[in-house]
Amino acid sequence: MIEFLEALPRFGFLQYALWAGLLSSLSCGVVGAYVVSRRISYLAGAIAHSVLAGLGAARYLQATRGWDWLHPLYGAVAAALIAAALIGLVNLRARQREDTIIGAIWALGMALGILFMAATPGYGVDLMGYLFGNILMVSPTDLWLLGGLGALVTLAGLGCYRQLLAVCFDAEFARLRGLAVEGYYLLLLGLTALTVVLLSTVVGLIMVIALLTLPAAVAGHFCFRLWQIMAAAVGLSALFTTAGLAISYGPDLPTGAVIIVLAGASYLLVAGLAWVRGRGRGA
Amino acid sequence: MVNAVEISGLSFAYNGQPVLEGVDLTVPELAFAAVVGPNGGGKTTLLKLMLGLLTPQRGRLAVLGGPPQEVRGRVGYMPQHSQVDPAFPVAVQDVVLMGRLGAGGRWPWAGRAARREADAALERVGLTGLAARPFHDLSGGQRQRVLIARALVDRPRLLLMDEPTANVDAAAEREVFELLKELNREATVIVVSHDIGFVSPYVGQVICVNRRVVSHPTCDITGEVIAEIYGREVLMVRHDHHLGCRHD
Repeated sequence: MIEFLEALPRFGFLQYALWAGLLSSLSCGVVGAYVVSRRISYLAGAIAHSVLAGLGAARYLQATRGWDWLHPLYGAVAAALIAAALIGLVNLRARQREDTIIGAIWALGMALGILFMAATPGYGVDLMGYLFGNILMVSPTDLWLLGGLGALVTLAGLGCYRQLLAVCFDAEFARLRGLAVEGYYLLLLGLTALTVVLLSTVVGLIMVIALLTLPAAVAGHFCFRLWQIMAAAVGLSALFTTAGLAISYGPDLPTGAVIIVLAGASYLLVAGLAWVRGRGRGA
Repeated sequence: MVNAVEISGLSFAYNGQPVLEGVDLTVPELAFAAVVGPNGGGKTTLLKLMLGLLTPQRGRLAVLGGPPQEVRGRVGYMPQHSQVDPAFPVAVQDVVLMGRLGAGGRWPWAGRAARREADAALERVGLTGLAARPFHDLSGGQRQRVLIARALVDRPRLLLMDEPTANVDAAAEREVFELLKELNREATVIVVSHDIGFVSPYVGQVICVNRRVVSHPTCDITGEVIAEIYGREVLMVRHDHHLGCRHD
């Protein structure tokens, strides 16, 4: 911890990592609150895994076509949005096959990503970095992209608060009150997709669901209005990522894993305390 | 005077399975009607047709004198309570405000006037002072009344309610129907109910739905009719009122 505080002013990469964690916390809290209350974290899981296809394709095209402008994040955003649109359409049009199709998108995204990476010539692509995150590798260019995406997602998520709240609570009723429910549902999935991309730079694709949902789940034990959960989840997410970075730096632990352990342990602690208190009250 | 609901020759099937056939039904304005019948008989389907959530394959259907999709702004709806996640993190007042979504508003939060309307609706259903409480802290009966407040906050001319008293004890059930009787002074009320014995003192029209639809004035409802609707004792009974048809 002390080593981290000493190193922070000296090393640019640590400052970039800190900023990446703080920037992604904004959209994490806002979108995570919707995802948890609407109970669609498994949809976010499928979107997260399909991101690998986009990352792999972008790296492949960079290497073989010389498209240097094609930052892997662009590929990730495109893949996440395509997956979100597919899942959204399946959810709206063919509910009975939903879980099978989501499972297919989940695995297909991974498979395509691995194939693209295997086909990419030159030095080995850092697959582990994509899967488990490498926040210490965030560059200033990444930071600008992350900041722009984060601002977009946060503004849209807050700007459509009333509509998204109604659609998440009771979509059929919202439709009867004249709301374009399908549009808002697809918007929510799109925002989830972008947030997944943002957070995957912090903790990687595999663990991104935990970082998306656990801060909101912890917050849900202390607040009951969606906007309060959002605010608390933003704070918790910033706390987990910053503390994870600080704790992992000295002993050289994988940062993403430390962040997830902090978030998961906090959630289990809060849920356990709530359970004990509930039993105490019941007795 | 326009009828609240006018249906003629309507048929509806889910994936080729007929759910409703040859429905003719008129509900006059300011009527208080109950839709009864066995599970799977098509009660909820009939309600969703009136809401324009489903489109009939055949027949004509007018609600408040127009196509259902176009009059939604003047129809208040309360879904079956199982449609709403009781653990959802939301305040009571915010649930009621969802009934005014059509009215719009520029900001992501509701204005002061809208909040006053919501509080007035909560007062009408007897939940004054609960506006800031979490929805999931309320009892089943209180939650039902919040959903009724949400249905009436936009001052509808027709209220459609799907099992408003499911999962509620007898005392709360009576309160809900007393409330609906009061609301009936300003709006037509159509209630789907599993319990015809209970609703009959309140309603003026009973709509029996079991693939076919037969409407009775409440005064015609006898033990025989009830048994027939639910198929308990009698298989076939001749009705001696003018519709003269039987259920099958």
